[in-house]
Amino acid sequence: MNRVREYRKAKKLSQMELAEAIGVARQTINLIENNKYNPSLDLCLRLAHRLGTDLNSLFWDGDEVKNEES
Amino acid sequence: MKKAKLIEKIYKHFWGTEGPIDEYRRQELNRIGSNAYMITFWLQAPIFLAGFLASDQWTLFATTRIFMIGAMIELYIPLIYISIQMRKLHLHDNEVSQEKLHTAKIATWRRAIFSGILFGVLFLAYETIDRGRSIDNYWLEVFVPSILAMVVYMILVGFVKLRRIKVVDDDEE
Repeated sequence: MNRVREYRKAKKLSQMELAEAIGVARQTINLIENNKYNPSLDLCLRLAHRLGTDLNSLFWDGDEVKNEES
Repeated sequence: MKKAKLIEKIYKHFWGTEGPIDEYRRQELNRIGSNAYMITFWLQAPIFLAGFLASDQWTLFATTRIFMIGAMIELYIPLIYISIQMRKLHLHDNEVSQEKLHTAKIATWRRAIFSGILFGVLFLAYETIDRGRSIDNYWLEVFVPSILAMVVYMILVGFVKLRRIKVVDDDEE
């Protein structure tokens, strides 16, 4: 589960505003937040840049990796 | 840059989508287009087979009819598939905020007027060429129906596109 919604709300942005800022449709932001679409690296970087964070904080879920390894 | 913008405009016009053609939309439109092409391709073989068999057994008239019906099937089945997919994925939706609703409605009617004019011109050209010398009164038999067709088309397209405008609240699913 990514934290796009969390960071977006912390920045007080709507889905529409975030979508317009990074040049995608609102629908795409909604799909990313609901884990129904895996964005490209380029889009991930643009998201991270706009939300003022890094890729790890936004997308990395360390627990998932630990569960897979065990 | 200009070429990319032109391609995006062609995409939007062909698929009837609004808003940016981002990576998600491009991926889905490419998938739908590819599947529609496969459906068209696989329909061709039985249609041509039926036509060739008919040409051997029946008259030229019957063969022509079979090819015409086949062409309609080959056109409409992929179109139905595309229509279902576009509705399912909400790719036709024109999502706007409340503030931009009025601008979106004006833009929609502008596009409908342009489409209507294009349709009217094509209708006029077709009628003029098709009827040729058998026209007694050009203005009444060709020009006026073309204008009427243009207006009806404009209104239909306008209302269809207006229905696709959706005002989005924050965090709508």
